[in-house]
Amino acid sequence: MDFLNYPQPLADLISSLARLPGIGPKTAGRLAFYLLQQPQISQDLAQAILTANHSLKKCSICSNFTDQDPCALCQNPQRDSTELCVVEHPRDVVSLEKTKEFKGRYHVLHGVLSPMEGIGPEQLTINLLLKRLKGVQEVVMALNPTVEGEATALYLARLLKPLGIKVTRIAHGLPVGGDLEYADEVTIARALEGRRQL
Amino acid sequence: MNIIDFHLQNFRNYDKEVVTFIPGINTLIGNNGQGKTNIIEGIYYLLTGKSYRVKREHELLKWDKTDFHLYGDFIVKHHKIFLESHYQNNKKRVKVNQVPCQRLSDFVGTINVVFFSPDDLIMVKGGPSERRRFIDLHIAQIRPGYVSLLNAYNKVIQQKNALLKTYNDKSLKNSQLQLWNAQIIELGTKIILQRDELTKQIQKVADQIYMNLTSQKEKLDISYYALGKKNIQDALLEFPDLLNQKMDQEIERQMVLIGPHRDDLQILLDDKPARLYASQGQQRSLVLSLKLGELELIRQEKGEYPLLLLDDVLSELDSFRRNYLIEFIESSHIQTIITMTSAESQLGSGALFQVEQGHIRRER
Ligand SMILES: Nc1ncnc2c1ncn2[C@@H]1O[C@H](COP(=O)(O)OP(=O)(O)OP(=O)(O)O)[C@@H](O)[C@H]1O
Ligand SMILES: [Mg+2]
Ligand SMILES: [Zn+2]
Repeated sequence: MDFLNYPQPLADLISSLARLPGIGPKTAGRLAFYLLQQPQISQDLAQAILTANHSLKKCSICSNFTDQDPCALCQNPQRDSTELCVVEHPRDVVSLEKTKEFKGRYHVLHGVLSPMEGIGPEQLTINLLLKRLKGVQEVVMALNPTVEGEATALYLARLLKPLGIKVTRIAHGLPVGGDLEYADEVTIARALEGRRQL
Repeated sequence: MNIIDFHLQNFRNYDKEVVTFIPGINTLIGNNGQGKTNIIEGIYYLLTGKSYRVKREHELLKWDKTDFHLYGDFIVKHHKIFLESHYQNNKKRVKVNQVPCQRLSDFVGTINVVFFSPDDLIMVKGGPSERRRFIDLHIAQIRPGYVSLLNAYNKVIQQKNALLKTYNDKSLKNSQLQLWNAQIIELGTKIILQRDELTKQIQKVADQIYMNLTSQKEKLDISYYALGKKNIQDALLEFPDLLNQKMDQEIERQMVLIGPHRDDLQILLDDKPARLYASQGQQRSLVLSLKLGELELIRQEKGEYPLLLLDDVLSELDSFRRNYLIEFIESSHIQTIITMTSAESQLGSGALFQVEQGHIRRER
């Protein structure tokens, strides 16, 4: 690749940027040159990345990223603790919160079952989930409509149903292969309303 | 459905060529190795995003070139559609009316095509996957969503295979394998039902065409076998049990052993398996009948005929079958692009193009 002819620090910057999802070598090059021309923005960005990395941890209850433990959502007494919504990623919590439809609490799995990537139940936060079921009456699966999301929902349903917990999943108003992150708020809200029992 | 003009740049043995087709029959004539098949392959690639002949696009690129471009104007139900396909740096980009398409499945089926290639003959004598491909490609053209269904199913199979390879102990039996089996049943059932339904449809029309092609002498029978069974309802009822029965064997062999990804189509000529007994000419007639059957079904579904591409279809057919085919095309008013070497040219009507060393010249 041609950026290997650049001075080492610049080449390093470009190849680091190119490792980010959705960024190819061309965009990485453009971003790198932009950052070099904007020292203040670079400073702020670098600082923000470091701070976020240092101060954010996973909430010991729901596993969402947080700067305080337990996280604000887990501490909020207004949230209905009989309903639990299971999501793949922290970003899905953000998507769902935007709809203001869901009043319960969340649990972040940090992935879904995928034997091809070596992800089994032990790699997800399922043990933590099982520990927080006291008083929970309904678990809503808000996993992406992929075959892996489906398998994960089924796995959890099999664990939870024998405990007398109602397990539902959000209706797939979401397109197949779609991502919660890209669905608009109305779609997600409609999907939440139409959840059905697993 | 009509193709009006077609442009090739750096595709196979073409530098930069344009062909303007007529709505009726377009004959491409030329000696061996001049580029007739390459034109057909190019049109097929533009319409489907895939080549029949190769797995890697790289082979389609003219030697020593870095990108190829295919584009053309089409008419679908009186609407003009401009399709473009551009390949560069191992990436392909497709645009429909200047708008980029994200996924193949976004435009497959926009413009329907039925393509006969001598390579298709392998579906008679080859393995089950060749026959599944035929029916799958057909369904994909008329049922939006089928490609996503197949992709999802294949993903489930890959995941289950990975699981079987990671742990080969019996403890899997009651837990994780079931998660994937549940989806094999759910998605697999949908695939089986569609394949069976569409095979039955094709059987009806193709049998009639085959009868005509052989002047009522031979009978063609094609049926879908799901999970090794001809009776689809039985197969589907037993699907969960069959999966459970195979589980030990699957754990041992570390692969998924049952499901529509291993199904087959049975083709009989006069009640004998074509796979074992069909002659060269019979194979060609059979595949041709299936393709012409597909043509008719697409017309019924979409309200107009698809584009018909016939590559090297006449060789090995006896004169009766040739004449039947030529009459069929001439009388049906289907836009057809047909290739032949000079020796066998027999079509009296339509446009005639001479193909020579990557150049196309209209002669009539
Ligand atoms: N990637 C490529 N770059 C350049 N030339 C190629 C490429 N791929 C194939 N060719 C050339 O294209 C020619 C084959 O063209 P094609 O298969 O269309 O022939 P044809 O006219 O259909 O011949 P036949 O009558 O034998 O079927 C061959 O001479 C081959 O060398
Ligand atoms: Mg050829
Ligand atoms: Zn929390």
